[in-house]
Amino acid sequence: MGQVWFTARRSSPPPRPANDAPAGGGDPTQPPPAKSRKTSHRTAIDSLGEDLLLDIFLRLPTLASLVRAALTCRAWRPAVASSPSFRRRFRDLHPPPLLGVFCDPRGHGLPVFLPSHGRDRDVLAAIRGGDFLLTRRLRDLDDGGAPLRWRVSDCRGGYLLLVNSDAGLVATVNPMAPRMTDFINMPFRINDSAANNAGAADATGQEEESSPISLDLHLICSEEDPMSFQLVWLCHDESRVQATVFSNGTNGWCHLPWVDIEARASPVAPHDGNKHWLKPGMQANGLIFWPFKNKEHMLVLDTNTMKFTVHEIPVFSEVQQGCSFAVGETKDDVPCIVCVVGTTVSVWMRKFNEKGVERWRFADSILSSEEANQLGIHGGLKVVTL
Amino acid sequence: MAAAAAEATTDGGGKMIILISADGKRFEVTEAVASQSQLISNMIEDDCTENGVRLPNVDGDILTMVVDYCNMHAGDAAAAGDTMKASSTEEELKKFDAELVQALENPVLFKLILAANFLNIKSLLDMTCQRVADMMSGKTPEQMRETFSIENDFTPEEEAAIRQENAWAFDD
Repeated sequence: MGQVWFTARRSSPPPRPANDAPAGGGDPTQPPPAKSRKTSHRTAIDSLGEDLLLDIFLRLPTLASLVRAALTCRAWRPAVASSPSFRRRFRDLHPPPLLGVFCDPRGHGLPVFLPSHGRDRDVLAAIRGGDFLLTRRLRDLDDGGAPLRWRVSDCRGGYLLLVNSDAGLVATVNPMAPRMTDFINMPFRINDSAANNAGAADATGQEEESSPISLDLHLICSEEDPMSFQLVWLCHDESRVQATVFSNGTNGWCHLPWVDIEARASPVAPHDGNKHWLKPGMQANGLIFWPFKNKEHMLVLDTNTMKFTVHEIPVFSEVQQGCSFAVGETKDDVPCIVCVVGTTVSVWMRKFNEKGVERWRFADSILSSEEANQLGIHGGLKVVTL
Repeated sequence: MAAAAAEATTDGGGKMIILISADGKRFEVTEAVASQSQLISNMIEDDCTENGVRLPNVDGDILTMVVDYCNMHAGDAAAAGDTMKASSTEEELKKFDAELVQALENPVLFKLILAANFLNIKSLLDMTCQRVADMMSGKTPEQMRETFSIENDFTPEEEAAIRQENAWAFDD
């Protein structure tokens, strides 16, 4: 008759099957992987198939342990590398550790790296193993006579975006993979802002009053393909903006058309006489936000469509004076504005209202000097993640 | 033991269903116990457990462990009023689970994963997959190959190149 178990509690481990059927000779519930020419006699872990193997990999504690596992045999490497959904899930479960911060002190040729204080073994190994001095590739250029003056322009997806205006070069550097450094010629000659302030003119002569102003350069990483990236360079004149986009797929710059900005052109918003009317941009969720200096609007570029829009900044004008704010993204990928006034931290989120129109809506506000301090730190430094 | 079993039969209530392993072993369990398998739960809903549930992918030894596990954990899923099941405290369950997976040799562990996957018993699948992940973590590729009897099919040159590219992941 049938064997019946109820609350049979075992203090000893369950018995092992009398005969360990050889791998593949058992009864895998899934057909053996197609690539099983050689594997049938090899290892039982192959019988799990790729889905379950990835399920196991998701449970590894760190990215480093995943990399080691993926390099155990030929078959496991593509299993990890070729599944964007797996990589996305792994990232969601394993927020990248902070390795440290780069800062850009004046007078230094290269950005300076300050490692984090973490004691995690894998993080320490990563810091030791990476090229955080940035010397391995960037020094090479020194031989060509290009002065070593690289400034951090952006930092995301594990990459640093560096600009060397003297040499007219942009570089994307992954400190963990210095050999993959890309050097890209600038699409136009610029005076960087420091040079502008000092009134220095380059060899091409003083810029004319009406010539466009180069504002800043952003790095856009692809979640799906870590090897692909885009750069967006924003230029503007008194009332128009233009994005110039580099894609490493085509390896070329593309000048998008100039776009009129109504908020600047309309007589309601009087020109403040300052031709530098935009502040450097911030990126969140595939959107880049450039606040107007008047703190009433911000310019938004959707990097998927490369379309510009203008949002009103949802902050009461009386608090705008002493307020510093940053655009970020929430865990649910909703863009949010975090605004600090004194010790009050307020959060606005981008949401659809009942009419289906997207607006910035007030979400929450906390009074906390501690949080404000943290935000101050985050706002001032750039963070490298893997 | 027999008394406990008899009591549970009445106490557990609900219909009994019969699971039949690949090699013909039969297991009689309450619906509450069997329903921890999403596969069987669906079958119960569809009313097709009448003549026993044949599980051609799971052999008797593995199904023994699965039924054991489900009996032990029935308290989680079953109705709260079940006093028998309530007696297995969380601590006991943890101990039971730990002993269950830690004693397993690799081939058995993998078969248990396959069974949990096929039967769709999430908690058992989580636990067994976690066990394999624990066995992998902190190991170098060489140690992993040894643990799981995996053949190194990289050429020495390939391996050297890979290690260089990913030097940060190798702390040695």
